[in-house]
Amino acid sequence: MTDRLIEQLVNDLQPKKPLVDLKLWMHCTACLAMVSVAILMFMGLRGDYLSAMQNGALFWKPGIFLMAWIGSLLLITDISRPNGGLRKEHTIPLMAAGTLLIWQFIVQSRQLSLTDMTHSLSDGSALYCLSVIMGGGAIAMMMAWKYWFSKTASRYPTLLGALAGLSAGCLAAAAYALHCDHDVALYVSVYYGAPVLLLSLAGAILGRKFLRW
Amino acid sequence: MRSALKGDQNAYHLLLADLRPWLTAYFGKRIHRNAVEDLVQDTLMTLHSKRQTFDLNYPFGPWIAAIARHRWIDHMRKTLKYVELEIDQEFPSQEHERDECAKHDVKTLLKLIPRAQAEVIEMMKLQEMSVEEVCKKTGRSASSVKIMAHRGMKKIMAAVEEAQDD
Repeated sequence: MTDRLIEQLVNDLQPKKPLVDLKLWMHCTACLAMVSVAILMFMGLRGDYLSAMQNGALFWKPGIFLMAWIGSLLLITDISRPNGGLRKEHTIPLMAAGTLLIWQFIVQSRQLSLTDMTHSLSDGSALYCLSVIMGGGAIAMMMAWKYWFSKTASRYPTLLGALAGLSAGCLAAAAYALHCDHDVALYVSVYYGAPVLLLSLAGAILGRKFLRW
Repeated sequence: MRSALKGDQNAYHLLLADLRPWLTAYFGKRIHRNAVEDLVQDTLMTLHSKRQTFDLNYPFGPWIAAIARHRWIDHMRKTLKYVELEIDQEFPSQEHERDECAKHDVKTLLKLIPRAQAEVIEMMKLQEMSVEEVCKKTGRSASSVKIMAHRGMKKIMAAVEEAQDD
């Protein structure tokens, strides 16, 4: 039986391109560039970009999600293969992103009252922010899934799926942060964080179901 | 493997034929001999379908060992679920061969859990005693015996999951 199976597998052999980490990085960077260009073309750079550059909002807001995006991609390349394992040092960008957000909370708590912060949550454009990040992230995730994730064989399929959602969500959030002028840390945590978390959750469910092997 | 990825059928045949005895020995140490051939075939098919995950910059050995280990753990999960189902149903299985394999696999894993739980599972699964018989022998209630068996199986399952994470 095994001899026959070996014959069948040999006859079925076709050249196959191996997964190359660098190609995933290039693919995702191209996605980030495309989404950023699309947002700048159709929505435009935030109106107050000069003052946002001066107060750093144009850097820290996309920066948080860029760091989280880099961290998630590093972890994805760690665990995409059967013999791959998580490397602790690759969680550093994710921790740096969290630290940057906490730092902004601390800085803003000196300038804004708690009422001001919570008031920002009732902004009418919040749903718009949420849906753009969610939609953009979902498209990026579908592209990456077809290009990379469907070809992987990970020991941690649920985690890999969650990281797929996290990286796609962070990519969309980083690009959208160039347009959005809401800089309150609480607003960013809730209305940028929620779609990223939802995409991660969806990725985890999909990963558990479809990335098992 | 490098040549196989490029579509070289001769190299691929040589690789699979060379792998077969290694895989047979690998699974032979871990599971009942009746299930070894199935797992060897499963592993070869996995290798074939996931060959693109082989990183050309790294050696082949750890990669195929990880695939074989994954297939073994998958097999153990199925075995443990089957044993748990049997304990729940409380009637002897009709699938003799599968039952024999499960017994063998469980026996090797019983060393991983506390003695009392291992004894209960051994009596129920390996000696095919009914819950009532186990109750009489151990002096425990039926619910206590069932709970011990379930907890024991959960611990074995957790140990198998841990093995995957190592």
